[in-house]
Amino acid sequence: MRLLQDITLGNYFPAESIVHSLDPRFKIVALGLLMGVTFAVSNPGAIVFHTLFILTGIRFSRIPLVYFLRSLRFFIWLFLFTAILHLFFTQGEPIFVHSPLNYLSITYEGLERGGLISWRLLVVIALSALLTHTTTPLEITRGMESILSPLEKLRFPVQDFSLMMMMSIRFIPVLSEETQRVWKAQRSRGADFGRGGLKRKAHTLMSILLPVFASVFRRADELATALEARGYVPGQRRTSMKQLSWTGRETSALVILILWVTILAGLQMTL
Amino acid sequence: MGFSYRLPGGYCFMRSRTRTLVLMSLTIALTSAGAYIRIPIGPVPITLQTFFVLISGAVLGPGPGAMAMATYIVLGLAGLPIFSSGGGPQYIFAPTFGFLLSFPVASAIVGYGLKWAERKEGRIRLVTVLFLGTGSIYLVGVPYLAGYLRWIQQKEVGLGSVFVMGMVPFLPGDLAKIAIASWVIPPLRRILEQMR
Repeated sequence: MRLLQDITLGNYFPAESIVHSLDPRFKIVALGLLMGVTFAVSNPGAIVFHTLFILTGIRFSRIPLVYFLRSLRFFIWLFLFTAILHLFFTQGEPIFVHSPLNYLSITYEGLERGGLISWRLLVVIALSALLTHTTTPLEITRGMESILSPLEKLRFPVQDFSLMMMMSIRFIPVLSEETQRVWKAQRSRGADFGRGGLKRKAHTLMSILLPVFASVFRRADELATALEARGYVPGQRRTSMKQLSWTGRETSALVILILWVTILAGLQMTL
Repeated sequence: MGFSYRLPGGYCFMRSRTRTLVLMSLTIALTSAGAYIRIPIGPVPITLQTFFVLISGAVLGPGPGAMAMATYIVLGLAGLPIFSSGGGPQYIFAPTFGFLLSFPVASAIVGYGLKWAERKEGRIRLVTVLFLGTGSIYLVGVPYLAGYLRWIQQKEVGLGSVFVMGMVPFLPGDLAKIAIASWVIPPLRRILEQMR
């Protein structure tokens, strides 16, 4: 099933690049920093430079630009919404006035503000796509676990949290598997989906939903028993097959990033 | 073994913490799958996401239910495509992010309410609880939408009209989901009763 693969692999695009091989912890921190900066910068010139910087990052990831455009597709409605909102409902010097509906006029101010906000959203979405295209969900989970681990001192259950993240990724294919199994079983008993009135449809839905629930809860129960039998202790630190490693490369990337933020602050003030 | 995600008055449903964790992961997976199941009824296609939010409260109880839904949000923000149109940190800037934020609240309300509902025979109390849970989704989601319009998009829109825009199209779907949930929850509780 496509859906199944879509969810478990996420938006990951396998390739050999510097961006792919960087430590997920660095990528998460960098994303947070760059996103904040994107919204802090208001000078149009500085934003153009910032966009170029991020485009360079995308270039380094060796992922075709088409994939980034594809992830923007989901957000088209957001852009349309922003554009319409600002174009028509901002007070200011009008470019075009529709006479019977006076408030439906396009203004310079609306054009400028709408353009700026849409541009920032575009940059932020491209940035997050850069993270999710170059990092697998599992790597992101490991990175988050490591970043959150200081919270353990505050009695926040970080270990439980990361186990849950990994298990839910694993459960999604199980769900679609079980649903298909029950669906086929009911069909072989002569169930006819998509026919009949509302009441009949509700009945057929129930004839799928309940057996699926019963069997996935049984699978969950088995998994819990298996975990306990193998000596899983909740909240205890676990070892991992893949260790994260913060090397000189990550440190230098961080230095470049901080330099860039400083330059951008300068641009914001001088431009 | 005790369970530590206990909100005041929250209760431990499963026999061990491992079991609760596994069940929490399962409800996260169900909610994720629910975001992808679209039923084209009414003006706006409804997803089963909020249905599983109600179920999560019923299955896990208030504390773990809320915790599971919070984890769902974090997972989606971390980049797993488990929200209705993908996932990723950029979702914070989506106008509907407030609805996601309401999931832990709704789950906790259903979890608490169910204890009260099970003290009496019949479905009236159960349906009331489900209505309250669904109501809380709008109570959090709609003000967020209004705030979003006001601060991110820098637009003044009245709260009343935001309510009409963000709530009315979804009401038929919500009624259907409440009906199905009130039908499914009692047998589901019996299954869990046997399991623990």
